Amino acid sequence: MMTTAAAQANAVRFGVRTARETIEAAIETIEIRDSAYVSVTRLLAERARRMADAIDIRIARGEQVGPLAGVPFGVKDLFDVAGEVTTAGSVVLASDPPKEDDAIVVRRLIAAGAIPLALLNMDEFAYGFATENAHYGVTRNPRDTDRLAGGSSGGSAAAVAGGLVPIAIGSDTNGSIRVPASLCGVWGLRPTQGRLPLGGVYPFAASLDVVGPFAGDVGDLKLAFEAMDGRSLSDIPDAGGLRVARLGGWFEQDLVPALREGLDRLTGFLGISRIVELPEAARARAASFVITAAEGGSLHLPRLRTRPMDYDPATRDRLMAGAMLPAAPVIRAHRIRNWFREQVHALFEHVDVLIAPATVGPAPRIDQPTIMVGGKPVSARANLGLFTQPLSLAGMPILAAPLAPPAHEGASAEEQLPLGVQLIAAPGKEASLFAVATALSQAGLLGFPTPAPAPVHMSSSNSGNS
Amino acid sequence: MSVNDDSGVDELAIMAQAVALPLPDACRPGVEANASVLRGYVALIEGLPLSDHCEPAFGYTP
Repeated sequence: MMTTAAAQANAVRFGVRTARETIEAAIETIEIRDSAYVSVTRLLAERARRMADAIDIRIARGEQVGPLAGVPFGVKDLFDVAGEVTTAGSVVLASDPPKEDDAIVVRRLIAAGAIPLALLNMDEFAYGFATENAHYGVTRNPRDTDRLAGGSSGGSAAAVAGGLVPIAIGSDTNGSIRVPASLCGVWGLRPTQGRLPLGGVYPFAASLDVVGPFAGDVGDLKLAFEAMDGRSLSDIPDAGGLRVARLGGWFEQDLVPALREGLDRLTGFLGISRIVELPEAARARAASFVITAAEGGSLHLPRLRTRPMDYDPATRDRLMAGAMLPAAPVIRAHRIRNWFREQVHALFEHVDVLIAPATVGPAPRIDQPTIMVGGKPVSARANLGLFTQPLSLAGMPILAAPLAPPAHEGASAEEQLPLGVQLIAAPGKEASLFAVATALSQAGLLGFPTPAPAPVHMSSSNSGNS
Repeated sequence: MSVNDDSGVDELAIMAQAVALPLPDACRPGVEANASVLRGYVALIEGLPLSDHCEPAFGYTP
């Protein structure tokens, strides 16, 4: 059974287990479990073994090896990894030369002692909320392999939820960390826009792209973020002294009852009754949509002209539509972004942390990929970002956390699936998020048992062709 | 970005031509659907009055 990253690193640092043994165990777990999840697209076994041996040698010499010594981590396949082609979930880039260097945040994790072990599945070019990839398969949710893992960093969330690796990294443009983290019952962080470097990360919509970590508990999430950030969060405030409020309006619609009750438990524990609204959330979401489509479409336009049929059809058609957007609405979307940012900044003059749902409910079934919005079933792939997209527009740090499982007996299988919430703070205030998240975790209100139980069956309906 | 609307104009083809994007027949239904979704979002953002002094968020910093 996988333990936390912190426990694995301590075992390595204090000689209980070697880094090599840790990596071999992780490789074996991936080989046993991932056929049910389809989260791993490439295993980096030989490099991982070499890196583990190097760490063991350094430990034997008495050298410092970092807080994540020997901890394997998964990498969404849009981060450069030395010696590997960065595919961004496509075959369009498959003939590119292998990268010479690791992405900056990968290098930082390695500097903290962590070891990249696997490249992970994603929606092609990160354009989707489902991780249904026509080239590399459909990533399945380890909590119920007949359900979507969410996306676009679905491989990252599933690899952590499934116990393949204790931490993983992904990217979030409109919710691509927060949505899969929530559906898979793990923790994820979209840091403040611009805080973590994007060097060596394949872009999607460059003005919205952010990278961040996934983990099985809040302590590991903090460790991974600190490594990616290259510094420790030394100024964690007392959660009791923070002004916390719940987001209402747009963020109260269409919630399944268990999610509404879970949010009530959080606000009850924190003793807050204040509900605040973000103005024009629907238009903020629309602006995110337009900016994303235009920037993504523009990026891919040269290839869409010459080899459109090499793309995943769902991604291609979205990118083409985005490439054809005229300039005026795109510029207007950026003006709304400016306006919206001012509204958000004004809100944070009176509040430190906001609480909101991450999705409307649990993971949709793969064979019925819809969610209920406004009383009607709508495409999950396009709409799982209902609550994440508006927030992307303003650049705040957002921590996605799983509610604790229902305590009452007799919960149905669907009621036992993970549900996620978002904790949102002003730019640069990740420490406030970790303060509240840790308090709620210690109170037993946040956190889902990870890893998921071992898969008992494999469905035969995977539509991927890898 | 309506297609073959009442005027008989193939607006999608015109938009594609404007950016020199060939539009294979196999792509048309999906592109049309996505263009329609985007048109809805464009209508939403056009509905928000903004000051002339509200500048685009180029060089965006949170």
